[in-house]
Amino acid sequence: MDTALNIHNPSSVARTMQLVLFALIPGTLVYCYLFGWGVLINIALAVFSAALFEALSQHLRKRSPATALADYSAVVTAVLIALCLPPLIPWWIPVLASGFAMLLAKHCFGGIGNNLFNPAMVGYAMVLISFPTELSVWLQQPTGLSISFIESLHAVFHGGVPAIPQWDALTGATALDQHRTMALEKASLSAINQQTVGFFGASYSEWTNLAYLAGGLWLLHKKTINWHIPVSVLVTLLAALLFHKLFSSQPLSVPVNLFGGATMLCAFFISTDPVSAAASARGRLIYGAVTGLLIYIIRVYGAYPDSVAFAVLLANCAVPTIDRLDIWLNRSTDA
Amino acid sequence: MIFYKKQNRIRGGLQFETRDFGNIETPPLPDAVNIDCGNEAEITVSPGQQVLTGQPLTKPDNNVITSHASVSGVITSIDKQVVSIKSDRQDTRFQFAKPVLNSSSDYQAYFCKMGLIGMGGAGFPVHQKIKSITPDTLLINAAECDPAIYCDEALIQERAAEIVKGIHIALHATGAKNCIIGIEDNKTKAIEQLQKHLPVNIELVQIPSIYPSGAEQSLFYLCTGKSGTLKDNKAICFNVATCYAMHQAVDFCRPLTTRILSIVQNNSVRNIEARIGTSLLTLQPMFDQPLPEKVICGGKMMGVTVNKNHCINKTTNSILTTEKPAQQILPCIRCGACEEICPENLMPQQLYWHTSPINTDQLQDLTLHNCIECACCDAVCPSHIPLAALFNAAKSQLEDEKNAYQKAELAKSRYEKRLNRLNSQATRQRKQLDSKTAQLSDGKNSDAEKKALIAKALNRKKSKTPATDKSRNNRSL
Repeated sequence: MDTALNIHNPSSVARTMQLVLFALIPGTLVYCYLFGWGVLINIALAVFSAALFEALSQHLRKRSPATALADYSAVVTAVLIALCLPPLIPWWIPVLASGFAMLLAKHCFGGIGNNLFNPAMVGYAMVLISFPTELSVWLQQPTGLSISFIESLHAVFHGGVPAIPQWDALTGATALDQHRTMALEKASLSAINQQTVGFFGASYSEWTNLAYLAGGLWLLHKKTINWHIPVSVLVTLLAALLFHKLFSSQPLSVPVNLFGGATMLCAFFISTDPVSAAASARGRLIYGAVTGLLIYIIRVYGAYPDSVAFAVLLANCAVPTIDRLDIWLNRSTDA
Repeated sequence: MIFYKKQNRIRGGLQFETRDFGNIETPPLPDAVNIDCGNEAEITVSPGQQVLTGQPLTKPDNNVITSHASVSGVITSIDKQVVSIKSDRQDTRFQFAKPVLNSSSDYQAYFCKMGLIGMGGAGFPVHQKIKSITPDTLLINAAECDPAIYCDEALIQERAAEIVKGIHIALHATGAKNCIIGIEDNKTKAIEQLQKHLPVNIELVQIPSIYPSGAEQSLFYLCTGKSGTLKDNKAICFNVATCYAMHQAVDFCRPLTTRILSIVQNNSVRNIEARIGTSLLTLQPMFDQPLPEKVICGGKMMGVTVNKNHCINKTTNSILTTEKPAQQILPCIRCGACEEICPENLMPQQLYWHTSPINTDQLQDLTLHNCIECACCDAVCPSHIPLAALFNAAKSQLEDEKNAYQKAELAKSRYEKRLNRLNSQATRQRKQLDSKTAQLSDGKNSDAEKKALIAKALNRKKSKTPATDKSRNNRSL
């Protein structure tokens, strides 16, 4: 049957992805303002290589590279990978992460729409597991733009942050990492807070997180993403943290966990990737809750300081089951 | 009385756009008309015959829709049940006798003779609809079934009094006790006109102007707040245009030979009252631009594409000339926009996933059969996937599978029954033979007697013709 549907449908995959990219601008700018050119270099490297690998995969799959590039999904994946990486990381890490994300996580599963796992998180998790040394070197104090663009480029293409005393003072673990290590040593929260920096001890990542939150709220306003996943992730995480506060002696800072690391980036930009999230509204609430809970569990009891990537990937595994469960619930409420 | 039941709102759906239009126009009388009488109708006219406007072309029959000549003139040809008439430009009317209408069955026979059908879009014969139910409630559908159709609105604006007369006829014909009219709240002029003419016992309910509220099932829910099918609630639904046609048939003895349809173009909306069987090419003066090769009939959501030489039939409610935007189909990204807009609370993206390849069990779990194919999901899909068309195809495939399964089950049960029958027959014969053997071998009969019995049996056998024996054996197999 030749159906008419004579409607101009303004929404498109490309438009959605563009809006997501626009919403990431404030976070990127703040991150850049705090930690310098390294952020932009990471983004440029990741985007360029992601586009290249996307085109290559499309070519290998005998499909048009132009169609795939035109939907901007590869760019979004690349930007998300770059924003998870520490600035001034060796150049091959963003390239490797993007390549892995595109080739294995996306196109091996059948390209856009068919990937079971969030490609950005697969790429990031791969480099996080494979190169822990490189990925644990974060700038401790906000450098601003004090490290020049040329110096940054030099650092990126010559093995990352140089091991000289002048630089050593700048680098260190993230706030979440510090919190975790000190909590394991049974230090008190006030002692931890004295050691950490930033507005409330999240190594200035609270500012980037607030910028991501602003971008995420704008996406909600534009109805590009649904409220279910962000709300569910944040509420579950907050509930788990408060529960911990009440019943556990292990020190833990609620604001650092809520506004530190990649919490907001995850809640609004990573776990809201529709392809790897649950399908229905109820399913998305369950999916968000699973993600939020896993973030808390891995952060507090796991071996990695920030757990967003693993939490999202594990929740992705649960999606087919959540979708089935939802159909089952629908049927039992109807009956 | 006006009720605006705000709490009654369908889930999801698309907002209507309001557009202005002028009075209903009458295009010049066509030179020729082509009337499709339908496959089952028995045509009673022949080529060369002179016919008058309104003269029946087919024999009235309860199972088919009667067709009538829509212009007076000469029949030029009859090809594949399509009667072509060349107009004599006189438009002389065929005179029907004033009917006597006392009971519902009188109305059924008369509406059948006058070729009345549901004018909303589906085109279900009115007499069959009345016959199928003895309703308590008569629901009048004054809402459009598609966001780009304006013909009912135009009709109400200009001929509200006639519609109300038609509603009274419908009440009489169906025997319904109460009547509700459902209309979208953005049709202010039409509501005004209806209010002016409505008697107090008819309730006018405003519904939100959201597609697909105009489908009779959702309209009934919106007007009464009752869920369940119309049949369950003892209700019957007629479109306003159908009521108008009833009024024309009963009060003026006019069969259905014209219909009002909307011509929707980029810059204008026109409503015209055209003769059934008019070719779209003849209506060219009504269009702003030269007709494109393909136009869309039946609205922008559920319409179908037809050629420009298509002829207007009783269900043609609109013609759209706006270009179909070419948008590339991309893979589904599971964004869930379709699920939010679905008025039936289905999960279109999950359904889509299970349509290629078809996963029967999953599609049944996801209640594909509840899909009304309103195409709201198509309208919001960022990947521009033609979901409604895919669901339509999947539905018919499921139906085929179901039929094939039922057929196989029937064959199986027939085979098993036959096997049982043959077994019991064999047992019975064996028993008879055994008892006979026992009877003969108990030593009471002498050899001579036995021989006589054998000869008797052989004679009996001989007297029967072998041919009949053979055929009987075949039949029992």
